[in-house]
Amino acid sequence: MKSRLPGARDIDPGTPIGFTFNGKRLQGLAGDTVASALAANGVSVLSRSFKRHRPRGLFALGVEDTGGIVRAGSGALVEPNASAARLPIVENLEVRSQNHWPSLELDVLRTLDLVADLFPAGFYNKTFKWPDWRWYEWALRRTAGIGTAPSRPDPDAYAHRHATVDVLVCGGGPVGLAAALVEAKAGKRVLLVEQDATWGGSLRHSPTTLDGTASCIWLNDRIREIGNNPQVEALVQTTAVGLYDHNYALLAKKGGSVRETLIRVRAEEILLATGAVEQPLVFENNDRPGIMLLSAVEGLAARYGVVAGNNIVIAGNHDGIYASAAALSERGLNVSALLDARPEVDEAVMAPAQAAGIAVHRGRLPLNTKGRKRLREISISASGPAEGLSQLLKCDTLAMSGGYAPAAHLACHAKLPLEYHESIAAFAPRRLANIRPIGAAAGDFDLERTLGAIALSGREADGVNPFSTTMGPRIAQQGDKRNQWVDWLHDVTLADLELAVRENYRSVEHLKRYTTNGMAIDQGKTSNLNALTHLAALSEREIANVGTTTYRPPYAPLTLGTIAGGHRGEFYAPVQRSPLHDQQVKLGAAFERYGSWLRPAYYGRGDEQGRIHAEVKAVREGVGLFDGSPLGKLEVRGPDAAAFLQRIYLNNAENLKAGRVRYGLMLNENGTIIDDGVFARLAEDRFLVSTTSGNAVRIYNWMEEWLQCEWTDLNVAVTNATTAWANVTLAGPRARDLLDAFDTDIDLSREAFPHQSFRAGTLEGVPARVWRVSFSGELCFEVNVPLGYGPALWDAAMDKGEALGVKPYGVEALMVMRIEKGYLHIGSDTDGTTTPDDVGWGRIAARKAAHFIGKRSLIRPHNLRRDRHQFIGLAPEDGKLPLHSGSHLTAMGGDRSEGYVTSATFSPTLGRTIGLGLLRGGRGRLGERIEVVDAGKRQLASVVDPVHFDKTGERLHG
Amino acid sequence: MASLQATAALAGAEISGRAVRLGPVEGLRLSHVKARRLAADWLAPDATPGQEVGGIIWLGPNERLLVNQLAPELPGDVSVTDVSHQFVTIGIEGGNTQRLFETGTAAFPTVQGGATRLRFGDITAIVRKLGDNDAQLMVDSSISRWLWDWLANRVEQLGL
Repeated sequence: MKSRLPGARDIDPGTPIGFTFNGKRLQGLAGDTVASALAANGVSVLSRSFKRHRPRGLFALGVEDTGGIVRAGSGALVEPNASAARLPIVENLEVRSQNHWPSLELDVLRTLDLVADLFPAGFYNKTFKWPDWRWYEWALRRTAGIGTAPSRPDPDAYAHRHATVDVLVCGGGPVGLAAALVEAKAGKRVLLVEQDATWGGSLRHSPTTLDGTASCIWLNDRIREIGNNPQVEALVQTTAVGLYDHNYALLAKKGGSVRETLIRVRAEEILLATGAVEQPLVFENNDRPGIMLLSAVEGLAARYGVVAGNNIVIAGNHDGIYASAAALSERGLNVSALLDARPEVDEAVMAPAQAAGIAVHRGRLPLNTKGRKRLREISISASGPAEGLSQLLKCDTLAMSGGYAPAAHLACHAKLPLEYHESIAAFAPRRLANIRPIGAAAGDFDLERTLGAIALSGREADGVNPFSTTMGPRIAQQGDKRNQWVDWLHDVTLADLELAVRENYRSVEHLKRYTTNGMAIDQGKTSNLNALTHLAALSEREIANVGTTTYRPPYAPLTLGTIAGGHRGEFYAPVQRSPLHDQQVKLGAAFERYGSWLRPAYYGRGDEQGRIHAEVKAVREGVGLFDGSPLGKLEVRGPDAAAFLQRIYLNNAENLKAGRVRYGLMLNENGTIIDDGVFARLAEDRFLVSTTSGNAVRIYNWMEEWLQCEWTDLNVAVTNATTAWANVTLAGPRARDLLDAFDTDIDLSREAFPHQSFRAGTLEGVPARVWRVSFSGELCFEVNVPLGYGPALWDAAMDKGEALGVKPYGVEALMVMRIEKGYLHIGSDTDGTTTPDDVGWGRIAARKAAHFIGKRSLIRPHNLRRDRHQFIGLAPEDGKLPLHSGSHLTAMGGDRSEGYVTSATFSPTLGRTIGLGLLRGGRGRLGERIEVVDAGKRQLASVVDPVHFDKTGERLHG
Repeated sequence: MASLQATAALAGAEISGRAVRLGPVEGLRLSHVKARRLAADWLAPDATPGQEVGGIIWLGPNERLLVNQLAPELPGDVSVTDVSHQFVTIGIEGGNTQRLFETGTAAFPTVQGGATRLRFGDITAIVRKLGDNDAQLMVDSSISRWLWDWLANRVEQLGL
């Protein structure tokens, strides 16, 4: 490690930290970033470029850096595409360069640079066509992209947080600090965020005096004040990555108790003190390692005590480069020359640099550079089109500054209009009432004036204040345009821009997409302005008339972990559990997710099919116990309850007698089935609706929408009581025997409590609602008790049923039994087009005179076609062969799909495979032999009635 | 006399010894009141949006939740449903109460007595702010175990 300059602000010289770069052990200091530590160790090449695999070095020290995109960490903790300029080093951190093969030093893919003419902008639209694009596609896709994702799950923790504040201040530079304090003193709750690990912004690399005191003292005072002010929450390493409507902002925070946190902020007011981004110059071979922004050279020296190079040349187009050159020279750096694009410069501006003995070349910009892995020399020329070479300058570092463009990205997210200002040769955002760019972010570069205005009135100064008396050009406009980079990250050159314009992509939006300029992870922070400038020149327009592209979130890259937060693994999405969950666990249930519910699929481990068949057998021959708690339970009350359900259901609700239950289909406006279930009438003005388990909330919302938006005349209230009750379902020929063992005031006899009826009473002294409905085709009682009593009821049923051989059965056994009975399962046996007639309910629908949702659509010509997919049963000729849902149905020897298998199972009751399906004109084809096609395999089946078992329903009415 | 014994959700669950304490709140009697139109004088004193008044939480123009309150005499077309079993109430106390709530919602009430139905993470919940560092989260019973585990995970991960 080279020796450091004294007085560096961000490092602790007494705390060395070891890390590795491409396996080589190096040493940095506490406070170093990977970029500064590598620079201190003399490492020039940090990565290879995206397309042409050119060696790239450090370019900038902030989010705008394009050269230090590295892979950090190891194993599961690896982070690809990390920014070396922003990544603090920690002990034993492993850092690797990216985008090369086999090594950074010897990258075979560097040969792509030699044939770069084959890869111009939009090359994939017009090259590699002959003889077939697919010949090249594999190789091109292999070489495209940057970085490699870790192969193991990330063990770190991430979090989300919500914050509601009066003022959000984005940017912890001098303006942001001052503004936050003023707002806090006015009694507002302030959230102040800074993307870097330290406060101070530009003050950290460009020391000056503020309010008559040294900037470091001014800064420390403000930081202390903010720390002591309870109205301010101040967060470093927190980047505002997006602004959205209604002052909603997303912040990405690194560090703390978790690795990263996504903070969702709602703020009354947002102050954008995001500063400005230094712009690069464009000339031939301007991408060599050693060529970087002037602020990077300044920052390396001031913040980290690192000398960027032994022989530094500064090139720029504004007044500020002279003071910077003098300051660097004073700090001990060897600044040998200064190039100013402007031929005329005030003597007083040049004086500091000249006094430092720096050779000043006015009216000149670099023309070309040399040096393979580090800059070796530059050739300079006057900045006019007709001038030729004049001189070679030996140097290892070129610090360039094309002025500063307000960091308008967040303003752009919030749709603040951008205006071009000649005085700063850049776009600056206008302010809105509650989103205000301030300081350099608004184009106001007079820091003293801005701070004065903030201190005086709590408001910023108005208008744009330039940082230079005049501005020179940024683009040399000479030399080979194919090697003049505009967008370093996406390898976009001036030649690419010119090609796009020649091909008439003259709109800035078209140019951006055709060339991909500004579409890399930096969102054009250093490329957009130069591209717009060149587009304006090429199309002979003013830059203001060229317009800008849209900066989109995120402002800086954020990890997928930040976006996911805590929503991973078991916390990925909420899981609903039955009140009887613990009972099922004790019985060894194999759980599966059914919608959002975690339910027993079957009981026991191993031989899944065997266990499911045993459960079916238990129900068909004795009695089974099922946890039906997730079934939807909607209470519908009010004088118009019957009229309401009459409109909601295809089936008649108004003539249903109290204590009786009816099956019903629910349609949407298109006449498509959206749910089925049963509903019971409890009283004249009171119904209970039982929906399918996964649809309870959806159907409740559906009912609310109709009541609140369409049928405001109906006096009805709907309450979702699904989880207020536990449901223990007893099914099988011995179900009544089991229920009889309980103390209940409900008459359970066949005569008093027939199939499709409902009774309310007490069971073992607790309120009970009992349905006699069945989805298994067996005698069945669905017993509902207030939720908390569910576990006790289940346990009691298991105890009392022991003598009857009671067994619990899961969802899969229920599915087998309902397929045997030919019962519809919405979503399996229906799709987004299935109408009641398709499933055999056409006549019921036609007979209902009253209006119901979807009725009018049922008579649309398409819904009356005789060749629609209709619900049928399938009996494979070889009953031992499996049948799979989704298999196509064709006529014998046919090759056109005429339908598909919707449900299939091996029936343990019938001893053969059975299925259900939707077949074109199916009801008229009963008895026909068809072919079932599954992934190329064919088997024969007969079209049969959907009811495979107990066609008369004798068992059901037992 | 009921021979079946009720089981309380989250029975025995507790997080303590930190700057935030969590535990189930048992024994709350909750009634859900809903009608096509709720006249203000039916539930006096009537609750206001975002604020709990006299144990009545405003859930919507035609919807209230009564906490430990007997429903007054109401017209026949007003639906009153006992939802004591449907909701599980989690009490959250301590200095990090607000921080814990901030992991799931932006709408945590700012004043004592604030109460509202909101989205907490990916679920719907009712929040009551009982004091500066004292709040309750009422959630659907089916989701209570998942939410409890999620809260415990957040407390642990964030060191609350």
